[in-house]
Amino acid sequence: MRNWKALLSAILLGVVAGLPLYGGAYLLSVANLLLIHMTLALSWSLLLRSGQLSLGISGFFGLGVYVAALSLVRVGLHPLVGILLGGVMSGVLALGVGAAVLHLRGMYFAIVTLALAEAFRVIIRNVPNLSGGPEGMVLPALIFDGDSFKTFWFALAVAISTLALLMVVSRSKVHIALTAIRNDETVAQSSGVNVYQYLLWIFALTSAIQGVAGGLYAHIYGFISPEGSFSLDLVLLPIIMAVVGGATTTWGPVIGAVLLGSVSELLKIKIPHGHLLIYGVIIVIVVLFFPKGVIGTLQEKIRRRL
Amino acid sequence: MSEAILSIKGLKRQFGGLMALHDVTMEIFEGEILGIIGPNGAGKTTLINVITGVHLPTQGSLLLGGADMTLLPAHERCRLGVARTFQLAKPLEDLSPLENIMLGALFGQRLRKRDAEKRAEEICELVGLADVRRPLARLSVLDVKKMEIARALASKPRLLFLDEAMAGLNSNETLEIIRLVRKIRDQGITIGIVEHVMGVIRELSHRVVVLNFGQLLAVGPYEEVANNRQVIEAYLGEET
Amino acid sequence: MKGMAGKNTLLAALAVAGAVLLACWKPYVLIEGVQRAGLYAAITLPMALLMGVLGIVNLAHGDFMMLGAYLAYGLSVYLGVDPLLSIFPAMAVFFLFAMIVYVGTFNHVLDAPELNQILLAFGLMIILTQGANLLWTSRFIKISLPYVSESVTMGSLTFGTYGFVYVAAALIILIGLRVFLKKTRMGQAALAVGQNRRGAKLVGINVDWTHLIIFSLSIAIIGAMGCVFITRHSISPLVGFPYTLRAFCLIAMAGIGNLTGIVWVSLLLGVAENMVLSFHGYAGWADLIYFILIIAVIMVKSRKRHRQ
Repeated sequence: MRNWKALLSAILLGVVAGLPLYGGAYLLSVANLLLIHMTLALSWSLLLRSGQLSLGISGFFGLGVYVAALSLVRVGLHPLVGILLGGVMSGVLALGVGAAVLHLRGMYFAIVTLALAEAFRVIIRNVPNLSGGPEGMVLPALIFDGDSFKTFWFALAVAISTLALLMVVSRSKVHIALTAIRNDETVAQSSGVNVYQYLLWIFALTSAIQGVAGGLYAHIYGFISPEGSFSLDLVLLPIIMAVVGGATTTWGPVIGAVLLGSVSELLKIKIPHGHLLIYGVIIVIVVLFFPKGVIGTLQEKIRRRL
Repeated sequence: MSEAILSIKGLKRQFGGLMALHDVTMEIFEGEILGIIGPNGAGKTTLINVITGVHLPTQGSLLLGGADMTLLPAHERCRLGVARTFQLAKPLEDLSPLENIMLGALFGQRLRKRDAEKRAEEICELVGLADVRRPLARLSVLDVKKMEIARALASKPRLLFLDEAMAGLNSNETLEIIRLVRKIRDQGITIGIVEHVMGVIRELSHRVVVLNFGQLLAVGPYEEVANNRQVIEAYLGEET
Repeated sequence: MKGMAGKNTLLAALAVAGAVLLACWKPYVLIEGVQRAGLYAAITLPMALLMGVLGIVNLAHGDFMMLGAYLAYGLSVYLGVDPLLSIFPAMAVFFLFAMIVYVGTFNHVLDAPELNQILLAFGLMIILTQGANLLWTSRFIKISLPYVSESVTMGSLTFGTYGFVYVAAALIILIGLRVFLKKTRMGQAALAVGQNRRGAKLVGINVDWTHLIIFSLSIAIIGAMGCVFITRHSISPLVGFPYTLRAFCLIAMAGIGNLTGIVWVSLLLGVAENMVLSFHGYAGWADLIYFILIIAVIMVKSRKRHRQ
């Protein structure tokens, strides 16, 4: 049983990793974007497991974009270092902001993260000499010198590492702690869980991942702007992917990303201006009719049959 | 008799305009089963909440075995050895019963996952809970109660509070829990038990404290307390 | 209680002192700050009503205002109706629209986990803004009205008077809501539901109906505010979002259920933003003030809770 799972995974991995060899430039760029969204979806869902919903993905992502770009342009750091630095800074900032706002729960936390992302955008917009302002900035050099094969594999590595992280967490006591916090905080703390600390570190970790994804994005596209880096796409798509797939499961965001990533490409071609609207409708429909997503609903059906 | 494991002095807890606990001073002695009774709204659950750290006291002090835990957060009190069950059962629905129980062992006692699982299984044997890997939704009312008690026991408490553990159980099930409470106490754990069923209190308690309107009315063995005029008035007639 | 009176008098004294100081040093900041505060308060009050009674944060709040603005634009351009007059048909239209939205969506998630409510509100926000974008593109549009540039000269000051319409709107909404909540049966029912939903149900209040009416009322008011908004602002599909964020910040500062408090904190925000705007070169930073304020409020409140 274990063997064929491993074999299947290896084949799948081989097929995906081999994409640069048989796919064209277009397919590669779609795949890159999908991997970034998948990483964001996975990180978002990890925080969700604690019961906290963040609407501020674009904030930490955008911060990662600008840190990576500016560290390259202004300081001359190696692209890889810049990307990792973007992750670190997002994580540190999340620690700081989280220390203040993680006393909030639910709706209040969500809207504060939304305001936070908006605040980042305002800051970037207001320091044009540093950030290139609303017109944006072109990156003079790209990671791996723009080698599309290596860039794709790096994006794949980032996505797979995030997935691996979630898998490790799911098997560890962290999973039990997060689920306990989500289900009933009073029970959790009365059983010895330091709720505040768990929330803080998960918030920092997931924000750091979003920062790394941002840095990666900067190097894939070679051009950054407040419009693109803090766009609503980046909040909306990962959330939909996670929710459609199954927000608190490990593979849900992956499946959601593959499904919706492909659908979104089709939509962009057929309905260039309405695709965000359709995402909004999808969220509403899923929340109303399939709150547990694809995987979650399947899991429940299986559980009921047992 | 024995040492005081919990020492409460001048405990006050205010919620906005309501004084839920008013100057409560008492001790719980090691190894005893203490009954906590009083009419509805007397502050029994609030008392447990303040002792376990769900709420911080507005005033007063709490000493556990001589150590001051008045301002400690709830999770640290659990690690020091205070545990409780809840009046309205709160099973964690996204976890299996076994994982529910493991919670205390993992975070109260800080065991590694494998050791926590073993400890959880041991406790299941103690409380008489079988088949703990099946879905939570399948558990009977009695099993849920046992699971909650097991969850509290998993953190290896010195002091355990049971908040209306018998609520909703028939007489056979109540007997089973009574036997369980004695077994737990025989393991050296001090127990505070909130109950409305006087028979249970009479059966189990070494001493009884009576609360009304957040104040301590009486302390002593059951017979003494049951014949206390103030206590009878508190329960039967509140007409002034 | 004595402490409260002392604190309130101190705050009032500080406010008066601050106002006098501003009147002498930067009078335009004071005047325009008050006008801006009126706008913020008028927008925030209906959201506070909704939050207080249903417990939902309506992420799409500002977007309903945006739609109201587009409605007024349409009526103005195609039927020649003055936007301020459009308030009345707008209220009716949005009341009905809100009823449909509520029955179709929020009604189903009131008892669901809060995460679902948040996602629903978020999805609704996307649908409204993107729908508007699809219909009307992201181009900014404006109506020119002669009375908007009315101004008056007092001593050495010349300032626009139209902005006080916002102040009037805020006061009308505030007084209207307070009368509604205290004197009408529906209002009293709403207060009860807001305090204790189950309790209200137990005493016979039709909670579902109350929810429906209050939700629709909230949307009707904010939709009507859109008609007022467009008289002086240019609009685009995303114009409502910043106001949603500010409204939430103001409610958090005033405390849920404190309608009058919203007026005071609006003054604080309005004046503070205008103060920043008055310094050349720093204009862009005014948009951060509400965020700084809300972080400060959160930190102060959590420290208070810790001390308790």
